[in-house]
Amino acid sequence: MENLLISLAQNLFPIFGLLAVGGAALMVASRQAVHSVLGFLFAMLCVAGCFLTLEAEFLGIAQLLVYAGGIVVLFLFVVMLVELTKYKEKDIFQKQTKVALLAVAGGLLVVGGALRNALFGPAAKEALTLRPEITNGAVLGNAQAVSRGLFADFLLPFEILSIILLVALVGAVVLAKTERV
Amino acid sequence: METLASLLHTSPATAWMAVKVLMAFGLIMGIAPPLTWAERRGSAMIQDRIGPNRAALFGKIRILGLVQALADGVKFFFKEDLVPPHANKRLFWLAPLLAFVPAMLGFAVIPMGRSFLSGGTEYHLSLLDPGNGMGMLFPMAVGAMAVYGILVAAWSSNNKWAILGGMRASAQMVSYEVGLSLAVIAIFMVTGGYDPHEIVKAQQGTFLGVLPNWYVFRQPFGFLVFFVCMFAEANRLPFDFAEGESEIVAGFHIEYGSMKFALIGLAEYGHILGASALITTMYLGGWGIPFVADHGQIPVIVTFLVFLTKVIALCLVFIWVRWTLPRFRYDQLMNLGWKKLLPISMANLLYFAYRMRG
Amino acid sequence: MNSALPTSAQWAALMPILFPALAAAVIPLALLDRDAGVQKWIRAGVYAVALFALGASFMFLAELGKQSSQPSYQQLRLDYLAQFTGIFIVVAAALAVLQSWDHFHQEGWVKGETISLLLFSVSGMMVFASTTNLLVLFLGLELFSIPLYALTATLRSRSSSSEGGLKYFITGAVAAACFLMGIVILYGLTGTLDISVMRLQAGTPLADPLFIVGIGLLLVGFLFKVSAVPFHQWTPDVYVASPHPIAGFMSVATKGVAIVALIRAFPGLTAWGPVLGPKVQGVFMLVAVLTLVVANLTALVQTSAKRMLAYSSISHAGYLVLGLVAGTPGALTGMLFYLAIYLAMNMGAFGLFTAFGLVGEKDTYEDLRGLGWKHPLMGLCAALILFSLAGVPPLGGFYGKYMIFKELVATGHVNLAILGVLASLVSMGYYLRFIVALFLQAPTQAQEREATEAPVIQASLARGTVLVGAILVVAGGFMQTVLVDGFAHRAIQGLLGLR
Repeated sequence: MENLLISLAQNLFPIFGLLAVGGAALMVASRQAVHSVLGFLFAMLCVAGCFLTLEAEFLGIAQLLVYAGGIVVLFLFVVMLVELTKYKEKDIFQKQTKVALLAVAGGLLVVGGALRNALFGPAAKEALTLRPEITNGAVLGNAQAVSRGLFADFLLPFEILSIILLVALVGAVVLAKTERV
Repeated sequence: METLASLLHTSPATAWMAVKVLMAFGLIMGIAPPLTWAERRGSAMIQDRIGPNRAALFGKIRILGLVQALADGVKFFFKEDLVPPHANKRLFWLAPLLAFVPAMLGFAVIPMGRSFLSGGTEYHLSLLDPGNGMGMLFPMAVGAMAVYGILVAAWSSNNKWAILGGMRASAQMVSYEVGLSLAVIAIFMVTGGYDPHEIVKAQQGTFLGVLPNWYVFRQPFGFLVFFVCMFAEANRLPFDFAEGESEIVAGFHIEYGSMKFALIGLAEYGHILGASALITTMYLGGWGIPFVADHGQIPVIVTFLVFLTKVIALCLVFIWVRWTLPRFRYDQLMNLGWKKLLPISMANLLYFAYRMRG
Repeated sequence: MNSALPTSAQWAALMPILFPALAAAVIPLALLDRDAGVQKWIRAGVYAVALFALGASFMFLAELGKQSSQPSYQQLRLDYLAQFTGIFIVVAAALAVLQSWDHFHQEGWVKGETISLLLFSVSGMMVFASTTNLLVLFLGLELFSIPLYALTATLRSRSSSSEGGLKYFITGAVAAACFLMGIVILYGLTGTLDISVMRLQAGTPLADPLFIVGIGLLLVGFLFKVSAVPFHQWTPDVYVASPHPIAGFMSVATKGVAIVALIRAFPGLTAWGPVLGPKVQGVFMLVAVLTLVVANLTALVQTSAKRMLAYSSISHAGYLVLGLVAGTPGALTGMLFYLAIYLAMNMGAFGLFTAFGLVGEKDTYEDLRGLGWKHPLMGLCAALILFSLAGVPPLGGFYGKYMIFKELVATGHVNLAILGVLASLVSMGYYLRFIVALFLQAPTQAQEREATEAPVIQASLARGTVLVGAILVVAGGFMQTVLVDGFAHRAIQGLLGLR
């Protein structure tokens, strides 16, 4: 029992990763929009779990707060408002399903082939290591590391991002405003 | 601690973890039923009624109707577990769990008492030790997940009242989360960290000589916003738009009965407890005794009792407010959230940021 | 803490980007007033602010160029190529703003926010064109794409507008996702986000197949914005859906910055080493051939002149990508020259619709009948611009193509050069059709009647821009040395010197 738990704990990252992929697959495959959103939510939670197993707690919690707590709620909200049940009977992937499956399989082959080295090559056995400045204690914690990245090293991209948000706002205004001279 | 561990044939750490889990769950499960009783008796007192007083053990022992909670529990277990025919069955089953789990999880990082040394190791009275990197963000994140229980319950019931209730609740919770987070950030900033242990430590001693050094006195406006938003997050009156008996009957849980309803109800009281614990930790000094700067000599059990007292007092405030204030109208609710609380918490944040400038 | 603030030299790198962004942020606030009497003045003010911001940005860039300074801030580097591109974008935007004043008044609605979005897009393009950091590159891409998605769908009352906007948004999102995935893969392999540093690590990771996948995904993102052929389907729908000035701006500026970013990422064949270089070149070759064949043949059968111009802009992407195939400094310089002329040609061509006062969905050849005689000056400009688009010798468009074909022949791609010339000949067919409609077809009686009943078309600003375009086209033919030696050559030299 104890051994099982330990091996489970050691493999949390792949477990969460696979679960996240499963959630994403559910999101794509389900007919009900609400089920899709819940699949998305599940995938987001699993990604947060992935971050936690990589000792990026701040990022994991931010993922929970922003995606699971904010964005997906709005998705669910909109989906429930729009009420897509009248399209339920129709098979929305009528013709594309087979083509899409083929394309996905092809893409998997390409990426999988490309990833062969990374997965089964000599380097694959090496354990994931933390960035040296974190293990050395040069950076005090997650939040400090993230904030140093955001507000010092990547200040410019951060500010550009804020402009992008503003653009989204103005764009929404333009699309919602009535036309008049 | 070692003796306990050896009795259980595990390491002290595991044993302590088991104790903490039992304690946290015991606390919630132990307080929630009396809380329902307190709510009913309290409402009766406020409205000048008698309230439940008929239920009796063996037909004799009434204890001010306290047995009513027990009777309710038995009733929930033996009622027929009904799923409406038009409901989305899987999600209908999932929803109470989605509501219940976040309500329970929020407690994981709250320190319920002083940390103590035993056998050279330090033990903490919170499920997750300090320095876990998540700190107070964890209960906020988990609290944000609570809305899924309501939304999924509302949608899967396939009932117009339920949908209306769910919509209102989610819009309200999302709106109030913004102000809430900004209020909390001011505390994180002043403390210099977001670990609950640090926050509690930072609130020990006195403020201006006469007041406890609590954030409620140091950041009154932040507290106001946080307090109001906590009512909204817990979906309590005057923010109970998810239910609102006079308008949409029982709201999102209209189709629920038996144990599933009990779970949703438990989740609500779990939220009240969680909100109280959060307010206690962030603004009322956590397990700290007012005016005391050094807790090194105070027994652990005293700090735990102090914490418990604060939490229960806040729970009673929740009940008191529910039966005193009328419900908002929906537009008033949104106005309050976006046009009043949000600017207040922003100004609060900017003020403390300005004071901290280098 | 104050040391984190940019120094004045660093501000210099930010200024040209900040001017339009600030103006764009102010404009929506100015539009809050709902009083009809005031609004007219506010509208004029909005356009003045926009032009002022663009002008300030232009002056600043010109001054930087004069002082030969190349300021940088963090991941942003305003080198000569970025300055050239900045001026290119600002001029295109200014022309689009002038045209949109007329166009929106003809259409009967003005939303000041559209100008704000246009300016945001300008800042995004400048960011996009002046960095080698993939993260900033991606953010720049998003910053100029998102406003364009919204601009495409501005006219909600027209269903084709929403359709175009949605198509653009969805396909654009997929392309952006590919781009981002490419960045992730490359970052994972090399540990750097800077593409010029990445190139220097021409060791083991370059041989990794995953690296090729990453580069391929990046190329998808770039080629989508260039609208080269496998990724071109959005273009006609989107251009037709957008207001004319916006369509012109998109066709010029989006393509221009994407080409500049491609030049920056893939400057010459040796840049990516002996393994990857030929592969990338092969991709460019394939894309160029496909683009030239598909776009030119499809453009021939269009009935809508605006749609034809969309396909023509796709085919011009083909000529530009041919320059990347050659990859010599001469070819890259030729591409920049081509872009400058292309700016004049396409802003002029799309401006024609506004100059002729064609509103709504009136953009077919039928609607153009006889307009050349009605507005002789505009007719002459139209002829000049369209001949230049086709690449008729004394005009600017010819020299752009000539410079690229010359380098193609010099690097041994004679077949491609011949294909390019053939494509130009084919393109002559559809451009002539435009001119024939303008001059040789008499308007139908219904059109005559409509024209007499309609109020006089107010399009002086748009006509001015078309005139400017035509003058530039002619000037590009006779005074190309100034443009080439003065700007394009220096930009490319600076870029290759950096390497």
